[in-house]
Amino acid sequence: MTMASAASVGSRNPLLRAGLPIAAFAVLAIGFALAGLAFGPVRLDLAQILAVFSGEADPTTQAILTQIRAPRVLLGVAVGAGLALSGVALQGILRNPLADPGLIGVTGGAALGAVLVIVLGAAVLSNLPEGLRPYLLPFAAFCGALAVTAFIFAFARQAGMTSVTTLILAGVAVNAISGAAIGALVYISDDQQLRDLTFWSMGGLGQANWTSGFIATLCILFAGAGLLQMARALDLFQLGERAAYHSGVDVERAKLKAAGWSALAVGAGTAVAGPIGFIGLVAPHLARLSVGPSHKLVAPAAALIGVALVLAADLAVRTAVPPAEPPIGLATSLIGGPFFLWLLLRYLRRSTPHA
Amino acid sequence: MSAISRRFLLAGGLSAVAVALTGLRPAPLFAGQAGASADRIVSVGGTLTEIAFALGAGDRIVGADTTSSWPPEVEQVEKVGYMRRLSAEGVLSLRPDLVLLDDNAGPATAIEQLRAAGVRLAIAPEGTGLDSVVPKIRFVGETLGQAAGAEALATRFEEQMGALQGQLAAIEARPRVLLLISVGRGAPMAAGSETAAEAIIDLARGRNAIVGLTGYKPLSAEAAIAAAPDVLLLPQHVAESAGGAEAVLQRPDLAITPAGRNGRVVVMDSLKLLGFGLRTPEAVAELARALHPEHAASIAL
Amino acid sequence: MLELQGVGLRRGAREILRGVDLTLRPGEVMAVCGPNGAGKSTILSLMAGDLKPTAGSVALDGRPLQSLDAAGLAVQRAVLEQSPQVSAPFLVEELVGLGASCAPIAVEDTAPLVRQAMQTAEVLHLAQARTDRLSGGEGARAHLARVLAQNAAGRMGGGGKYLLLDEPTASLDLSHQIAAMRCVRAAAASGCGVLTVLHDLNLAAAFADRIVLLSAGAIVADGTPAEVFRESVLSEVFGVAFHVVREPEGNLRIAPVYRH
Repeated sequence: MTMASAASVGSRNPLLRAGLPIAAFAVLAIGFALAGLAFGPVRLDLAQILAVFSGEADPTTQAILTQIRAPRVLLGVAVGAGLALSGVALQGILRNPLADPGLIGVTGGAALGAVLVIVLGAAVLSNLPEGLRPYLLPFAAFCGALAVTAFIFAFARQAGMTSVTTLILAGVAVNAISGAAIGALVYISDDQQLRDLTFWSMGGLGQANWTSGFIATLCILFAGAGLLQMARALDLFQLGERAAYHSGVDVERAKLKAAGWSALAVGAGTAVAGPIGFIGLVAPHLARLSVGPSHKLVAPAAALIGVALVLAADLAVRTAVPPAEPPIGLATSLIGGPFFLWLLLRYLRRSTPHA
Repeated sequence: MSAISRRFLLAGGLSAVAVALTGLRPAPLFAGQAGASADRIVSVGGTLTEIAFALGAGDRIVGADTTSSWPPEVEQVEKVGYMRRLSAEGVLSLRPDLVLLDDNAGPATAIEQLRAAGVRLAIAPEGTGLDSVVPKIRFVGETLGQAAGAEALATRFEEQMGALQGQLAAIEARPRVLLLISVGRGAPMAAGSETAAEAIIDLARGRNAIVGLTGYKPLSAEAAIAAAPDVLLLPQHVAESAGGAEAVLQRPDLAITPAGRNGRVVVMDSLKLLGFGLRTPEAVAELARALHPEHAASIAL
Repeated sequence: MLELQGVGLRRGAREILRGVDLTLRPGEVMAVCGPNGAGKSTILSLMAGDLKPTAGSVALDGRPLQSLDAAGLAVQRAVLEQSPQVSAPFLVEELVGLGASCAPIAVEDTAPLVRQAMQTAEVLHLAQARTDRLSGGEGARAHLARVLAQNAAGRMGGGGKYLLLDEPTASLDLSHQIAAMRCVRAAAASGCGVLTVLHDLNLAAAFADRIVLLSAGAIVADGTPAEVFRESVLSEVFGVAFHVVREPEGNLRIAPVYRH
């Protein structure tokens, strides 16, 4: 009894317990960010990279670092953190470990917006000033993400209550509808549009430039701050919605906030980088396996894991078969999927009851 | 003849515009001189690559996109991916001093990044049809500083096309041709109107069997029967992936069409058939001979 | 005071509660008893603010319940659900900490408060155990500790006036049932008004100041255990014959008469 009570105070403080893994994830994320700057199809040595900082590099090296790699790493950080945090929020709110941003329609909506522009955008594009044209697709994808998510939540909200079951079912149905709409657009698209579509749907950070990177980062920064503030509410949601309410959580507002911030974070990321699967599902799980269930710790850990995963996947696709660049979705799903299965299996074996 | 001389005048104008455009770029150089100094070229766009090789610049091409698959030597060249999904850094890693770009090349971000890196970019004139070939030949010639060679190539191309049109004008029959761009498990994809396939069929004095569909669309069994094609036309890769032309012809929906009953199927090299470029006259001649066997002897380049 | 005034609740054609006037006062332990479906948990839900009455009103210290937001209510009252669950593998200590987080208290006050709550609910030795590996009774006590922590934190933050417990003894063994009811008495002794739904009439008689007996959505009796637990009243409400005996120590012993 005395041992237990001594242990209960301070010595195994969850903050301390989680400090090490979080620090490790931070080191990993920073490491991949630096690697993203240092490595690529063009070989640069340290002297060349340092020359960029002192402004003495040749224009090509300068452009590779400042115009190609740096905005790309920035976008990778934003997208990774955004996907992971919205995954944390949605899994927490829905108390469903399979929830990911795709479930509430963010990805499907973004895809619908993007496909609309790819297939039907020619008329609109020709009326836009030259400088704005590249932003029509991300803008449409972003609007699509917000619109579809809003529709699903409005649909699931009856008499002031949002039913989680209805939400998940409505998400499935609306995703099917937007899938069919995309199918219809694919049907009328020509060969080139079809290829554009295919590549867009596999995602990639190659579209990053400073403007798109900054806009996405700003959105995700806002949303991420909003989601991080929800940590306590997410913890209390694990008691069930009624008990969460008893504990002081405005359940309906929390759900709307989680959905809104998620749609903003994932919508902004997807708009620029296309749908990048798997990060929103896996990063929260990896975080929980290493820091426990408390969202105050899960959220930052997952964000760092998301960043590390996206940057690692991007580095992989950039350097795998240069000078070509496969879509990032291949790396996240082909490498990440089996890795996650292996981890899950290991975890299940270790925690089998009665073992 | 008059058409050709008008093109000559146009070419002069075009090269003037080209010089003016290059003059506006960050590194102001005369096109001729810049072309002469381009030792490492990345070519994005199948037709541009084909022309560059035909002009003898093949040994200077260090990278090409995946739509560049002719001539066979291009297989030795590094591939920079699909032309609408270029990676700026991937292209830069080949240290090019000139990038030839199809006007459809992208994404815009990558093009901007290449420009920011100080690489000389040359963007080809728009268009993909028959009429785009000669401007592209002249564009590549100007850019590589080989205007004379390009002019000879362009003249030969126009003469070949002119001669073919003369030979084919006498042919009255217009057999109905069905081109399938993919034959998989589901409905096959057929070429409708406004496709390169229809254009080449028309040039070879055939008639697209598919009326009322635009672009490449899935074709139901009944629509295939209703189209009643006299000849089935398959790009090589389609025939191969479907297990041979005969196998396609024996599909129940095609077997009862005139083409199926008479066993008339034509297989042609995919890119020669559908990508307008230097080999188009060859493609038209080959297809015309297959469509009009009774006139085959009189069709030659 | 937590007051139900003329409260009724309808769901479609079904009338679940009608004409309920009930006031929970600080310092008292009120046990709500009655057969299944009588409306016990519904009364608790109305007082907790989960449900809005279709007739009448609910007021907390004179203010309509609807005028308080979730966070404000959580400071004033803590609620233990009938079968509390947690779907994440928190440690017991973290779970109880969640209760303590319901009121704005100083960080340095949290640890002692959590510890005290765990001690009271007899789960201190399980502080570092994962909630998904607890037995049913251990889990129930951990959640009781969470609710006690919320109540204590609320009191520190100027509230903590009411505890609403739905069958807090349901999955506990005899000694823990008694321990849990002692927690309830201790809370009342410190000025808290406690409403607890109880099936066990003997436990209610032993620990409650006041019994509210419900039948078919209405209050049939409201008073001290001795006033309410009369053989005739109980037989009518439960449809079973009862013997009620006052034991030498002063406790009531209530036993149904079994007929085979």
